[in-house]
Amino acid sequence: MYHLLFKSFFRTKIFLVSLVLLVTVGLISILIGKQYLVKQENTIVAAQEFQEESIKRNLEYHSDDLGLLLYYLRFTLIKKPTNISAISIGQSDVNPSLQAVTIRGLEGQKYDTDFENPSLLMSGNLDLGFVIIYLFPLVLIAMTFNLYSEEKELGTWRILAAQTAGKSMFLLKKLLIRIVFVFVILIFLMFLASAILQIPMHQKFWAIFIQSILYLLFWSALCLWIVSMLKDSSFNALALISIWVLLNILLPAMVNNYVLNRYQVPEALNAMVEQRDGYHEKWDLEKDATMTPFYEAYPQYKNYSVPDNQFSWIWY
Amino acid sequence: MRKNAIYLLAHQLWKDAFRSKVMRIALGLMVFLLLFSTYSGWENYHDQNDTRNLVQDEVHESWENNPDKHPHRMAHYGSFALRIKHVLSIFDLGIENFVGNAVFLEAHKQNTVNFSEASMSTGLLRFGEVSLAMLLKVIIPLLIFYLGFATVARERENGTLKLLIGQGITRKEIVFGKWLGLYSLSLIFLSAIFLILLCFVLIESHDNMYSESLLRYVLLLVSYLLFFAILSTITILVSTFSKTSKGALVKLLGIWLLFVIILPKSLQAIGYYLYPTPSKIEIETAVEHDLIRQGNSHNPDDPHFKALKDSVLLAHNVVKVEDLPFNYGGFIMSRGEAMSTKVYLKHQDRLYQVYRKQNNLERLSAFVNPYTAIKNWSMAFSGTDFQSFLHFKAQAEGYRFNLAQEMNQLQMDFIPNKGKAGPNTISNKYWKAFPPFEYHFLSVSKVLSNELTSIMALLLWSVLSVFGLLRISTNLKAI
Repeated sequence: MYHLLFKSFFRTKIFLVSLVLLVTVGLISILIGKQYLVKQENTIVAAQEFQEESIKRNLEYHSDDLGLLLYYLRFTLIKKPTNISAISIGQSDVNPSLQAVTIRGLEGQKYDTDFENPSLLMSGNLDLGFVIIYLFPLVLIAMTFNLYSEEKELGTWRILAAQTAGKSMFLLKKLLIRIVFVFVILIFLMFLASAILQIPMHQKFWAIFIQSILYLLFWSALCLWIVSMLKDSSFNALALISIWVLLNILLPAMVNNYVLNRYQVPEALNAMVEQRDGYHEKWDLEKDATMTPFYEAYPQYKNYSVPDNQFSWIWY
Repeated sequence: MRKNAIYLLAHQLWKDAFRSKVMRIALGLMVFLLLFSTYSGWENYHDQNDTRNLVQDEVHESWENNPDKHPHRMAHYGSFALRIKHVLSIFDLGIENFVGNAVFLEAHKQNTVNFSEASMSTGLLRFGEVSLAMLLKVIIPLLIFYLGFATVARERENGTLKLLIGQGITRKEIVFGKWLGLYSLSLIFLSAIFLILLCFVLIESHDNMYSESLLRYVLLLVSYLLFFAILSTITILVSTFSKTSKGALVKLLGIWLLFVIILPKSLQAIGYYLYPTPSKIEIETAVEHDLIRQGNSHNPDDPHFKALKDSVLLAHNVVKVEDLPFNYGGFIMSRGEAMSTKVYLKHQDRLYQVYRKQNNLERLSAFVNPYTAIKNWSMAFSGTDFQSFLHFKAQAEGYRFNLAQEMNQLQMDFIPNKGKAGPNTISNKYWKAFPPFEYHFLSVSKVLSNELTSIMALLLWSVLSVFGLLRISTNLKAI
């Protein structure tokens, strides 16, 4: 029974199309993840080289003045990416993993961004996460929407119904074959990703793995539910695609719009101006206004006095 | 072709559509989505622009309120440029939320434009946003396909197509009647959205912006009219060529997924894969290397600055820089600023060339994918495309450069050289004389020239559509 069902499934056009689509796009997405990791690694190496070179050069010119040296030096802070992030690049393209800081910029420099193509940010990364979230359900839908109606419309249902004892068992088996096929591809891609991206098989990997399986189980159940209403193919296709659009595009987008309006971040802009004003205001104050409370809080620095009308790094 | 027959067929399509459940559900959903995106677009536009205008005013106020001080300190005090949203950004959000909104402008340094909505929000933004344009570009095309997949195919399945032809209605009349019915049906949604948008444009555009915004609006309207005509044609064509209505539906759904989801995203990703973006640190290192090669102002023996010094001394016939009639520090800084800005902009241009190459793959796919054409066109005329952002950045950088150079000039003119008598500060009336930052949107003609590819693709698709409709009207199969 299964043997024949498999055979007939492998002969369908949709089987070949799905197989090619999922495997190629899946592979591309893993390669894109790989490229992301390589870029991050190269950047970190470049940053370290740059750091050393820049310290050396600055030492050459300012070796006699520690204040001036620190004024010019830039220190790069690095957030090392974990390999597993290549599966779902997510927000890491918006939030920089490198931050170059100086002793001058203080608060303001924390918000400096990386260079990235905004068109790419908008369309999002084609990572394995995208393939699992968007494409896998589509393939499931494409393979199951006419599970029953196809037999009905081709006129084979009556023959089948007469020949099999459990009609619903037959449909379930047919469905099972398609689901198993999708899951095999998913598991294949996950392990391929773990091999190519060198992701260790730790808790996080299994968490993504199990989540993906559960996510596709949800879609399988949904397809089964729609199919079991025994409507015609057009209705099934229409209903399933509508649900897909609703769940994967419209609902998240609407929640996003709602959240953006509900919890705005206008204080970011105000804080930015306040920070600048606060920083520069201090230069216009009398030095005592700053130094007296400072010496009270840190009496150990009392013997470092600040000269009144000449430049000093202590004051700076 | 008889007009009456065409109208009759179109009318029949309307009647069928309104009788179907799909249409009723779709209408309800569309009304809700329309209200929701109108409200959230309007709200967001207003709140954001109000905040930004307020902060921009504050920035200038605090600039003017600075006491007398050394001009170079004012150059470091600096200013901010805030990106103002175009009124049509209510319509199409484009890359609006993925680019920064504010940039700190100071001497010696080109800062990044920070505080993008994407960097401040959760990952949810990456699933997409609802806007009026999104409904027109993504949801309504799907609806057109839903409403139109059966038009010809089902008539054929039911055998009514045969009857129609038997009764003397020509094939051309059938094709154009169906097309007209479907197209006019889609215009219900189009006109609802554009009516709302018209109100916004009329309310929000002030004097000088008025005609520009209206022109943008008209260009958007025309392009969407073309886009919907093309979609209706595709629907009718597929419905005519398919043996069954089910086949037509599956094909149309496939086309929708390919056009809207799979092609644009894959091509953008491939573009990025082929032309990787250099990292920020790479660019900054390159800028620094170029600068050091040209001359290092920190190195007392640097040939470039030494030659500069010698020529200035010679020109003014003095032996020491302290004896020059202007402040030498200010002079060196103004030369340094001009040099470093030039180098920085050169490297920035190179980076944008990479972006352009990355985007071109998707942009050129407009000739095979009408969705891409309308997407880029719509963003551009809503003032939310990449070019509009670059336009803002260029203006902000121009303002920054002027500010730094103005302060350097003041230092040259009024601050005495080292060891000479004179005040170390200048009057704050000079800050007050410096104009605030004002942002001007791209001109319509500039946008038009940026988007020539998109409009050419749309026009080509329109011509192909007419051709396609004429073609199938001659070989429409009745059974």
